[in-house]
Amino acid sequence: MSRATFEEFAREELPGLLRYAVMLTGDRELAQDLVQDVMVKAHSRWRRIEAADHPRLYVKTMLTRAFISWRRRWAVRNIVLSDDPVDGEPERDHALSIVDRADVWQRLATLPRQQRAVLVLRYYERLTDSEIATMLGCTDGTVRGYASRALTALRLNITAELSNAKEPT
Amino acid sequence: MTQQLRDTFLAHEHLAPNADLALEAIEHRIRTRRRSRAAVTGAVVAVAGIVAGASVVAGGTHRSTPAPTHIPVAKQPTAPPTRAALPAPAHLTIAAGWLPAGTMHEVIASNGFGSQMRGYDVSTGATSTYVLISAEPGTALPTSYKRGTPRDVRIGGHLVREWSVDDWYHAAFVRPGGGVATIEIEGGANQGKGADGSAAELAAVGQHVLTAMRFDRHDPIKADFAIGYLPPGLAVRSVTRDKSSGTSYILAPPTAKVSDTMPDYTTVSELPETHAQLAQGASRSHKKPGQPLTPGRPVKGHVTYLSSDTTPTSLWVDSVRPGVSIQITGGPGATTANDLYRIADGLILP
Repeated sequence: MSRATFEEFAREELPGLLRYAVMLTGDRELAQDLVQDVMVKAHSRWRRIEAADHPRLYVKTMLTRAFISWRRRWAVRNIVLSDDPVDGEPERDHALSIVDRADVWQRLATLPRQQRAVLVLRYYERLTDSEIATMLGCTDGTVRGYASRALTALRLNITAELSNAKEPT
Repeated sequence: MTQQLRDTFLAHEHLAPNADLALEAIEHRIRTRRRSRAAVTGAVVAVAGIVAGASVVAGGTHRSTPAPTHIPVAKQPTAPPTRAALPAPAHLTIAAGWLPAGTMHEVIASNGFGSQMRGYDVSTGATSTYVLISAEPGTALPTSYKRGTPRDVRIGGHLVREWSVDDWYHAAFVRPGGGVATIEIEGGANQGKGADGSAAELAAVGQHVLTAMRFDRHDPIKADFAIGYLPPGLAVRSVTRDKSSGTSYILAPPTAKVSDTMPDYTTVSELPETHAQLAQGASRSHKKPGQPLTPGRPVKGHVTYLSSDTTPTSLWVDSVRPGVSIQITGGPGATTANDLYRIADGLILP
């Protein structure tokens, strides 16, 4: 089977990589920057990447690791939790509303990058913990630890907010 | 919660940037990089083997010129090299004449195909700022870069085209003596401990760096090994030393120009991994990274591996120092295993 050129690879994979980068960064502009940085680097390493059995996985791993070690100021742009009070107790048994999704999206921005990356890989990319461990270069146990802490943090935030909402004003 | 997360991710897919525009921007950056940073084509580390620059602590708000301390790179080799290093573009004439206060480390130094690049990381403990300067041939200012809209301003007597977007600043100007100089400043945070100042503050830093940029230095590029043999018709056209990934050389015909269609020339690059680490990684991820896997003959006492592919051929000289190997990848003028072994035999290692 002939190997894809870099341009062919980019045309085929960019939409998915950009979506994935949005999930990691939570921001359209940062996702664009991250993918550009990684793809420029991937171009310079293309001979090595094209020889891999799974070039897409290779580049996605580059993207994930670049996100975790990236130099940009995530805190400034991403921690934008809403101060809007919760208007009454949410009806949790309803289908997730647009407001709820926006709320979870904002809470994701408060997580450390490793934890967010694990959640994205688990629940968006639907990788196994073992596959995530390979991608992040850590053990399965570490992945489970990140996921557990992330989910706990998200639940704690929601619980805390619900508690505040219930308190008499 | 898990279903909430899945729904949340899917509900935000629409935020993904336009792929066609992204590809256009990537291709532009690749073209720019080829022209202005040809020396970094390999992108992996390689060391030039001549002499070293040094970390400098910039104090207070005073100007801090990175005055490299010239240290012999070959740290008392166990056996004297049997041949001299071949000529390489191993010096830089550009330097940052001013950097913000903090502890400075030079993170990249590159000279190749007529272009130079030098990058500094300035840390104050909680935050860090990345400063990248370059000089390249040509007379045309870039019209686009990454994102944002440029504006033309006059700074320090230069007509400057600058981009200022959040924590990132980029500027370019045509030098009076010819060539285009660029600077890029990126504000960063260390381990999420904090963030730098506003876009305006970062732009002010960038403009200060721009006005103080030097072009009259003769600073050697730090190098951990040197090239001692060249296949007929090839010359050392590029040397790059990167703090995190090592040193890299590009071997190409003396007359080769940088262009969009530049072939993959022969590279001799350090890699921050050994064959064992590579094999372990490949096994875990069930992938074949295209690295040499067939054991070859020893070179200077080091185990080697040859690419199992028919083309291109790569030679992996394993563990030239702890955790570091050298990969020689063939290109025009060095296409056979014998060519690669001759280059390997000629390496001058510390």
